[in-house]
Amino acid sequence: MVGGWQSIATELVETRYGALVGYATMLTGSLPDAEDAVHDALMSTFGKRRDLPNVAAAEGYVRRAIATKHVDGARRVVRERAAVRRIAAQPDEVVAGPEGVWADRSAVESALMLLSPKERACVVARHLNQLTTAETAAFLGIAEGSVKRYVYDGMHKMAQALAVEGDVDILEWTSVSPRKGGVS
Amino acid sequence: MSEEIGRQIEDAAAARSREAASRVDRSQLADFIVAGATRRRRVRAFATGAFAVVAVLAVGGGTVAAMSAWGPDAVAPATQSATPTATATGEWSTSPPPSPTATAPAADGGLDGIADYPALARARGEGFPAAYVMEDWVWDHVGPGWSLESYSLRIDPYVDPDQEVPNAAVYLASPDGATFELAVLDRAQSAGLRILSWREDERTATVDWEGHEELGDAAELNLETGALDPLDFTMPGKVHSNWELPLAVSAAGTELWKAYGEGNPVPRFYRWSHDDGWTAAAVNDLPGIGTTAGFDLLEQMGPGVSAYVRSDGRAVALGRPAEGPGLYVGQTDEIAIYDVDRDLVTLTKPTVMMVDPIFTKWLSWDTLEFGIQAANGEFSSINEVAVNGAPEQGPVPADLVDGTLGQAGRSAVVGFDEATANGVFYRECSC
Repeated sequence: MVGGWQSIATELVETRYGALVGYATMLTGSLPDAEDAVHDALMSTFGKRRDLPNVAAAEGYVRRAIATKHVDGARRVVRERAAVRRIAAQPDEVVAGPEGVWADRSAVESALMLLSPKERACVVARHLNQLTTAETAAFLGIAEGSVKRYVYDGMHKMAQALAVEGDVDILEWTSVSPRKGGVS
Repeated sequence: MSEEIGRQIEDAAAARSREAASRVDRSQLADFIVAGATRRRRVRAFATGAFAVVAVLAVGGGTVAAMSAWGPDAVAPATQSATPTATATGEWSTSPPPSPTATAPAADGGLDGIADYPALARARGEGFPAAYVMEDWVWDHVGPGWSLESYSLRIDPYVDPDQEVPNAAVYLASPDGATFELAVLDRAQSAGLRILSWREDERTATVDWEGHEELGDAAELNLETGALDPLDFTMPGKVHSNWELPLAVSAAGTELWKAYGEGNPVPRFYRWSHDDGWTAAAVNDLPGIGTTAGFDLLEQMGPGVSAYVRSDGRAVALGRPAEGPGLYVGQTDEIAIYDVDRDLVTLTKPTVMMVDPIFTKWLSWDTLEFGIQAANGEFSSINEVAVNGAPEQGPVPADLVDGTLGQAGRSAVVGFDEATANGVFYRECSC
């Protein structure tokens, strides 16, 4: 009987693959790109020996790998395009995100594509993963203040794109209280 | 407004989730992922194998030196001559009956000062010592020269995760080698059970054991009652820890632990010291600790090595990937050294390029060695980096015991008022 990480990987794919791709689609803006992102993240997560006590922890790790790669990938693409422009002595232009054009987007997905990669990662982490500001900061490895700013700006852009009225109210999930064994 | 947009995002993600789930055979995909990940792991294992030999030799050399420095106070293993004769049948039905043949120690008071030993405890089976029943008055004799020992069977969960294990047991061992049975653990806590540390004044010990996978769990064992009080940290988000990992223990007995909460991949670090008890460790204040973009324990060459912990258990190395213009993806641009005793973190900006480094060992008290992997998985170069803030090297306890897979026996020893062997804080992963 096979156990350990193989069981966790199998259970994760069999039970949470759809949710992972759904999450990744909100970041990449394309289902095929999202599938690639999930495959890459699964491979990188389970391709190394690491501490993954259960399926939930593994899913968290995979989600974080997807988000980090999305943000890093976008940064690399922007940098590479800027380098190409310098070499070709072309005038600067507005650089779109790394995602290609995908026709089959819903209105909210199209609205998400208007956000910068970090804004999108923060908005999705806050509203899909239901992470607190502090958890989102830890999840993406950026400062809490940056998370607040990205979420605020991102939600503002989305509200305009989706014609949702009202002020940008930043929801916060509940958190923290220490118990036995150590302070949190 | 945010609620409305959040709901739309959730609906869109759910729709894509259903669509994605219908596009693939998830069972086949799972097989594909497991096969691919297994290949990657093999490449890494192959690449690091040659270094394992070097590391073992280096550790061995350090051990010899440390044993000299440690002197005659090192914990002496129990001797046969002081082991009582036992005739009872063990509880572990799958093991052959015990056959200890040694005789009881002479009732002369010996080193442990005990003239008349208590009655024999029930024999536990092959691999377990014959022992006396523990009685309260024995505690009056416990002091320097005594040790706390765990006996258990390590299983290989990848060979047979349902393998039956004997009940693990914890003993007091006197300077004369007489053993006294303190506690017999339930089967659920018996696989690979080890003593991690001994709080002599409180008559408690911290123990951990292995589950059905490479996972472990930990608890405080009351040595007088045998009761287990599971270690449980309350983590951010009101989440209770469900996995606690011992990382390091210094000669002063200060411990560093890492814990995970249910559904949260970001670990939290905790420290235990004689003065402060349990506290959140200063390591938690490092930016992005435990995340892919933040500080994390330096990636090491293989499971169970825990090379990021210095051999004396007093220094732990962490690294942070680079972020920003002019830096390479995968580059480690900052190293943090955590002083376990002082709960202090010191940062170092490496003067050497560290791109996807794999940490191999501490070369000296303030220098780390790392390898750079080539595309074929082998090390293309070996380098070193000096770090700031490494505390003075402390003594390295030498009496590490780590149970052999599939064989019941002594799994850990902690001497009275002596430093816990740092090595007991990690074990060879059987994955």
